[in-house]
Amino acid sequence: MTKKLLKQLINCSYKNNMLNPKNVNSIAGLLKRKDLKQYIRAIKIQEKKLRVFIDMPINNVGIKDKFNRIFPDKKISYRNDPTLMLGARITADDMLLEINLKNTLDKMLLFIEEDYD
Amino acid sequence: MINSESIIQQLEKRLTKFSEDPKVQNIGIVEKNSDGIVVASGLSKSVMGEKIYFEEGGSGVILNLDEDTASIILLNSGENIKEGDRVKRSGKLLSVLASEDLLGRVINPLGEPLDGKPKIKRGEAMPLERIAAGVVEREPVNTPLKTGIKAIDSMIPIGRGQRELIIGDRGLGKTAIAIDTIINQKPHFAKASRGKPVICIYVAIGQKQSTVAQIIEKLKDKDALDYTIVVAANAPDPAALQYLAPYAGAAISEYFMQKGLDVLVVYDDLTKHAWAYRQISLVLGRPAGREAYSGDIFYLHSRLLERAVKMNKKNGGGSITALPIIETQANDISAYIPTNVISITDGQIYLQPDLFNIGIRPAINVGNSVSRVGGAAQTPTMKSVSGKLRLELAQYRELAIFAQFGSELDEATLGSIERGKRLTEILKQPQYEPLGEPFEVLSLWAVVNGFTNDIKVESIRKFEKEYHEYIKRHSPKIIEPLSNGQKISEATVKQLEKTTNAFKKIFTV
Repeated sequence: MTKKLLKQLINCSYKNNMLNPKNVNSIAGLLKRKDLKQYIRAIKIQEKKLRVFIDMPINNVGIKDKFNRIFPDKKISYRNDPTLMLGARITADDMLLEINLKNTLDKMLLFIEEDYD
Repeated sequence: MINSESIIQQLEKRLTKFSEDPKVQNIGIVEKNSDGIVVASGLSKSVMGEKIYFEEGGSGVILNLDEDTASIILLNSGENIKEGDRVKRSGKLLSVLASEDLLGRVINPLGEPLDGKPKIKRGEAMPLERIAAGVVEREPVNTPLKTGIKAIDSMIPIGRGQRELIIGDRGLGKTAIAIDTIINQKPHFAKASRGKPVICIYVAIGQKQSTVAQIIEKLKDKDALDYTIVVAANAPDPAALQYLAPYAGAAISEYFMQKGLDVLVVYDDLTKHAWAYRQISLVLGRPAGREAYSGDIFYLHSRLLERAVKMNKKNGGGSITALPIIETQANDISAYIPTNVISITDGQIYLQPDLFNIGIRPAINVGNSVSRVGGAAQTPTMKSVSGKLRLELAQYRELAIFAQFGSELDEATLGSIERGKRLTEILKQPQYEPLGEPFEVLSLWAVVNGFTNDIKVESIRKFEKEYHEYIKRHSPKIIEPLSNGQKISEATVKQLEKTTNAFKKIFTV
């Protein structure tokens, strides 16, 4: 299967940024085992692109509403990570945004290690 | 004594550099980890040659960028890296910290110490991969780089900024020539020296750790480590480190060269470097070409050796002289990698097993060795004694073969053979005993001008040793005009003749 064809199949599998089970089933039924593996992998990558992961140390409903407004077209998955101490870590596709206390402390530690004898 | 206020001020000044902005990073996910290569998805903003950090510790460099994935070569063992692990971009191309603190140190290609001494934290980050200086910044090779080996300095002279290949089978003394050259730079570091000092960098690629340890010990013994940096990626190190080692050596050389200094860099050896790159290329899935090397194997070495340079005065006047070493298999210099490197370099010193086996050391085959640009850098003093040397030696080799048939030879031919025997003998030199130019000139002058014709061939070495001692003790003034690099004057020749005849009278076999 060519990359071009794979992209076309992925486009057909989605409707309004949501996976369409009917289309996926019909495509999957037509593919050989090797191509099916490629197709599943491509769907996983696409799902990752459409999803935003937000790690937070505490469950704060008010902040969740704000994040829903920031990413209106994305599916948001919230995860609990107490090691962050304060703030959040946002992962959107292959971009990572660190706005938490742990990162600030790590940066300070690195700064001291690199700059002081 | 420093007071507390100034300490606080210093700390505050340093802390102003600290940025607490949120960190935005481009990340990737490990898809595959096999044979020192990690394939990661994501990393859409990464660039070729960028350093990458793994969440579980360790780092790597991007060597392949595909549509959805990036292939990363590991700079450490990478046993704990598994599928699904997160990788982060560093935003920096691979570089090594270079400073004067590196002198006398043994480091790996990443600048990490291997000698148990403290980590080098300060210095200029020099990129491992860099485009070589252009033609406008360069000038022709015009200053000699003395190896202290008579055969090389007289017949295959090397200039500062030249690339001279040392090629031959294993165990013929290739590394010995390079180490002797490093040791011979010591007098330039003496306060009274008129010559410009040469910083030396020895890059060990894929060698046995015991061999590298021996070399370091020898350099220490001869006080040569003070001005030498050893960059080592030994046989047990990952192929990626072996591949990067010569580039790290070149990057450190460039730091000193930018300061207007002269640098000598030895790549020991590029055969193993090509092997390491072949391994990486095959694991990366690049198409294999001749001898299974990838198509860019020529560019691998040409871009490295092109960084050897003689800068013009406007650009600091520094230089990088490269002595790459190639190990041949069964004396085959027409193999793929040897021919590649021969064509890239400005000449080669070819070591022959037959010569080595009959006791000629260094076992340099003068016929196959050449220096394409070094002649311009040879001093008039050396030129005045070495002019006919190459021709005479070549004639002797031809005549010696002819004489084996046992036919009667005329007087002139016999004379050529006898002088050739003495020339061959005088060009022999023990390891780790490089000679200064005045003494090289003295030895060659005596043979070329027939002063050794009546001395037995087996006594030539003894003659040379005692002759040098005699000159040092009785006529030290002769050494001065031979050290200034000028052509030997009539007066000096007369004085030399007088002293040599006086010495011959007391010389006993």
